[in-house]
Amino acid sequence: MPSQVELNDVRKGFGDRQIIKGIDLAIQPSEFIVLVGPSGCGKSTLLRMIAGLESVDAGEIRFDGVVVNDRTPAERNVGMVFQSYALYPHMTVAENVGFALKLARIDPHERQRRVDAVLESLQLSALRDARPSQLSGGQRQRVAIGRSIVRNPAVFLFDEPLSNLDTALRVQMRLEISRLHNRLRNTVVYVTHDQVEAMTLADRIVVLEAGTVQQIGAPLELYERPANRFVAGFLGSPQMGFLPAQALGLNGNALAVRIAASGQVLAFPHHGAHAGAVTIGIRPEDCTLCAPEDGHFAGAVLQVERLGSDTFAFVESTGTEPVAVRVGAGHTVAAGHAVGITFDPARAHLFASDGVTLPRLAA
Amino acid sequence: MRRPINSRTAAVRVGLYAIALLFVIVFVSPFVFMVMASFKPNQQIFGDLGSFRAFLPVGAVSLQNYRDVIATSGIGSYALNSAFITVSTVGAGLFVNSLAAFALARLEWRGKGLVLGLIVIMLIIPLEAIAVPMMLLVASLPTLGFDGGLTIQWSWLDTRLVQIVPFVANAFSIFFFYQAFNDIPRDFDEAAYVDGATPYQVFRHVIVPLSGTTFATVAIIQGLAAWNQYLWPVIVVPSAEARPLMVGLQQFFRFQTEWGEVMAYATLATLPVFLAFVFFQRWFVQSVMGSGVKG
Repeated sequence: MPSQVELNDVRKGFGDRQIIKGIDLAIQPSEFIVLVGPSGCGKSTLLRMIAGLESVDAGEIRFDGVVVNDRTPAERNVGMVFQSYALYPHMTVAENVGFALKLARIDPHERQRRVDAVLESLQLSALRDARPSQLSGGQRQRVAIGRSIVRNPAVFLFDEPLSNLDTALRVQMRLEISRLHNRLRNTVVYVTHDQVEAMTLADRIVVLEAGTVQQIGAPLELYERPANRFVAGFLGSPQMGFLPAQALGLNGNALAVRIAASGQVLAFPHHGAHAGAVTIGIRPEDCTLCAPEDGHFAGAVLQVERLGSDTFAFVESTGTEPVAVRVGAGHTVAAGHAVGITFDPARAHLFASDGVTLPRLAA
Repeated sequence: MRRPINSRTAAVRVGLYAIALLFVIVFVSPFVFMVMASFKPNQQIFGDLGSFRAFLPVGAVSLQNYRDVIATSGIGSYALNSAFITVSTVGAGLFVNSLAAFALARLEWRGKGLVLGLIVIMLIIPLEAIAVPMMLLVASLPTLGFDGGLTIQWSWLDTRLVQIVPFVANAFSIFFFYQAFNDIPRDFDEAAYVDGATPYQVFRHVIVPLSGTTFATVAIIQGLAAWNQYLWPVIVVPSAEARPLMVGLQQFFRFQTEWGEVMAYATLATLPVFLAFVFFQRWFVQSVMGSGVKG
């Protein structure tokens, strides 16, 4: 049975350093939750606390309403896939997968039946007698998954499981993990720093930064309605471009905002009254290149990245970090060109000086 | 592509081999002399001393010295005592020291740092410094016996036990295991805990199978020390019943001027150690080199 997992004001520190600074999170049964954030944000520590591998300094972790703070990983009935896979090198594939059942003193025949079923489902039957050192990265990953599912755990925990794989294999394994979740419907908590993994796998994403939750929501919700500048910048590749600007207050039904780089004033129709320094956030796909004199602001192309399906131009303007613009694959723009950029203010985001997104008015 | 060896590199190499060969000669020649002399009568040993014949099986070579040693020295029972002491010390030592190292390397408990510090301090205290207080301690420890009923004897002196128990827990072995266990990734332990293992099962099923070389090395080092024990049994084992081989050798050659027999005794005493080293040396060298590379 998939479990419901609740974190209530969970905290953790090492020495004087607070790593997890009070996190509240409710994970529904069968939900696929992805914890995402930059290195050192505490996401792996939080996962290890849910697993029972790390103690909890304060707060409560509940599985199906029962506090499990002092329970061992096995008592919590979690399965975990480690970043390093952590396959026992002295055991065969079948022994690795069956180790948990052996410890649980499951009858050898039943054990073999369950191991065979797992190996079959992960297409590992031919490798049952191989040692981990004889396997490729993808095969090791599958064995690690097999080892965690053989006990049919209530909660699956993945700690950056794809970070050691090459790009092609990562895409394939992503699909396999997604398929596995659709089949087993276990509750999954998945840690990654890769926002593509987060966006493609998650039912909901939890964005962490410096031990605090920045935002929780469905992938597209976070992408389109980031709660603050950190979330806006973290999700999306290339990342959102940011322009320093000044909010001048309401002008009719729209908020008037002056772009610092060009002095142009734009009307933002979905925002209420605000005055003072703000930052405009624009996604690459919401920007258009044009002649310098026609743009909302102008700058020089710093670099062009041609990815085949897409081309991104990175434009630097006075006082701004480079802003990415998605152009057609065949676009002839080149580094050093002077260009202008236009965008639809209705699609753009506004962040107050403290980084928090200015509330959008209901359309 | 192989790099051509220039003449300077070749000269350096020849020089290094020459030095290595010199070391081999210095270390091996006493051993060869001992073995060769063990087959010769006293007169010939002294006659051969001034020439290379001392290192060759030439002249009146026979097994007579061995026959005499086995018949008169009591070497058989001493060897049995030494074998029992060595096997018991190594067997119990591997278990106790590896478990202690596991607790230090892998488990969290209050006072761990202090205990580790004490073990490191114990590494530098020689047996000679603590032999007398240890003797006073074991002289008043109880042993249980049976003599028509349960008996308690208030001394460990003159037993095999007194040659085993004080050397089971060994600071060097604990520290050696500790360092080796620290090199094993902790993810393995954690994966095992998630799989439902207890700390002892992590030790038994994960750490031990991954530490074969370390166990072999500690067995050799602790086994050699136990087999070659001399000072301690001289202090605590006055009678012949529990006497080990090395003390037996000293006793034997105190009343002897037959050097061929002394050499035969010494050869017999060395043989098991030599064979064990030949058998284990690959692991021994591997382990020493491995820890050097990683360190």
